[in-house]
Amino acid sequence: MLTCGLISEVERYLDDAVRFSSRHGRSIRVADTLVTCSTAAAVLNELGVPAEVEAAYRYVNVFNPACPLTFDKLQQRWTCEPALAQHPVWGINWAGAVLICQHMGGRVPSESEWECFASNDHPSRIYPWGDAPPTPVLANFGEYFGGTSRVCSFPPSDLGLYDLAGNLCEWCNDLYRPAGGQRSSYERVVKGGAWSKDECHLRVAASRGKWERLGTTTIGFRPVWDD
Amino acid sequence: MHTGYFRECDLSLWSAEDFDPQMLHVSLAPHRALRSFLVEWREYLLQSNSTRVIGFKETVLFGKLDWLKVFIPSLKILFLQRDPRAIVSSVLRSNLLSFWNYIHLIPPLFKAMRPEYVSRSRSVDEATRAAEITAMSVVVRYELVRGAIQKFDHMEIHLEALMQRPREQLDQIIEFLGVESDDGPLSFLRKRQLASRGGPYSSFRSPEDVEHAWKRHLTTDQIRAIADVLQC
Repeated sequence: MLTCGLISEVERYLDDAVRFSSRHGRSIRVADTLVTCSTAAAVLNELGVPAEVEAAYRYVNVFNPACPLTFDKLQQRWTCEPALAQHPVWGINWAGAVLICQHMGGRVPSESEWECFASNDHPSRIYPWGDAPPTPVLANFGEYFGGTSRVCSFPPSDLGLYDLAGNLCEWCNDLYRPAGGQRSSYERVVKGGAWSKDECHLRVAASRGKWERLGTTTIGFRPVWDD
Repeated sequence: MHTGYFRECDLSLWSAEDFDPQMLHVSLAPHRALRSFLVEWREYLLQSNSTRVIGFKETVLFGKLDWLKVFIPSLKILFLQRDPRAIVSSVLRSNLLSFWNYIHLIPPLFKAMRPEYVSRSRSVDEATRAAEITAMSVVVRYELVRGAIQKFDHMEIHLEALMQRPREQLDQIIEFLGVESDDGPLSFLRKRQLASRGGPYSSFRSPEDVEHAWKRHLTTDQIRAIADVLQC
């Protein structure tokens, strides 16, 4: 059951989701932004996720001293750095991303779904905005800004989705298969590039594999909902 | 590996004999989740092959290399070194000295390794003392590596050489790792060398900044304190 504060936050998030039907016929709604620090903290509190007390974290990489989420022991709840409330959350591993998306009634997208909505179903499109090379006006990448930026700081795609390229990479559901190799049992696909990554990672077709246990400084997530 | 656990026991020595097939190490006995994490981490690393190498960068396992050799026998080590003054400057600018607990952890270990050392910085300002302690940390870690690295298939790299002769150095690394040659790493490095920009951990740094930025960031007293430690 959702509390009032979370209802408004999640309802807003759901309201802003963009309906997308790919040429393959499946209809989904896609979050217009990456999950923010504020929303992630609210969902973790709603779920009653306790402080990370084990020497290896379950969901939130609290061992990174810059992690935007912290557990307030006095109040027994997750909080986020106020200045980062509207920044996309990082430091959440794949299991944490799945957990948060599920609690909002959604899921993390598959790699192929991600490529479809990131290109607005134009398979030949190089970047979410088209074929023009990336610049710091179009996306947060290449250390031009030195960290994450608030969601909605850069122009949306023609579908109305923000930060498909840059700011943070996005967890997908698929296990990663390196070129010419076998599917990994440990790595999940991440898409979209991030604030510190080169422009090649911003291409719609570009994929990387990351160990799903790690919550890193460059990976966030965006839920999708099945219609 | 920067879990709170390994940060807290940074530089405590784990020997090869300390390895336990079930518990991995006696001190890990109460930490089931961490043991599971470490075993999965090993499996993840061992996916490496001739087309794709999986590695990790590490700063808190210097005292545990003998143990690590038993835990992951096929592990190769790239020992990346740098002008210690640049390391100190970088660590100080991260403002994480207390997070890493250097002030309590490092001086006793350095004293054990260099009993003849007499500090000239105890009574001076905090910034100089911080530089001195960080320099001690470099000495302690380098000494621990030198005692254990011969057990590994390893290669020493100097960041300054990598900046000045990237193709030559990367070719050597590629040969050491036994992977197929690829222009990707050289292209990546050259792009990152074009200009300095970004936050404190940014890898977009001009070669000039990599080599000389410490001269702008360290005071004369800090440079002297570092020299004292290194020369001891």
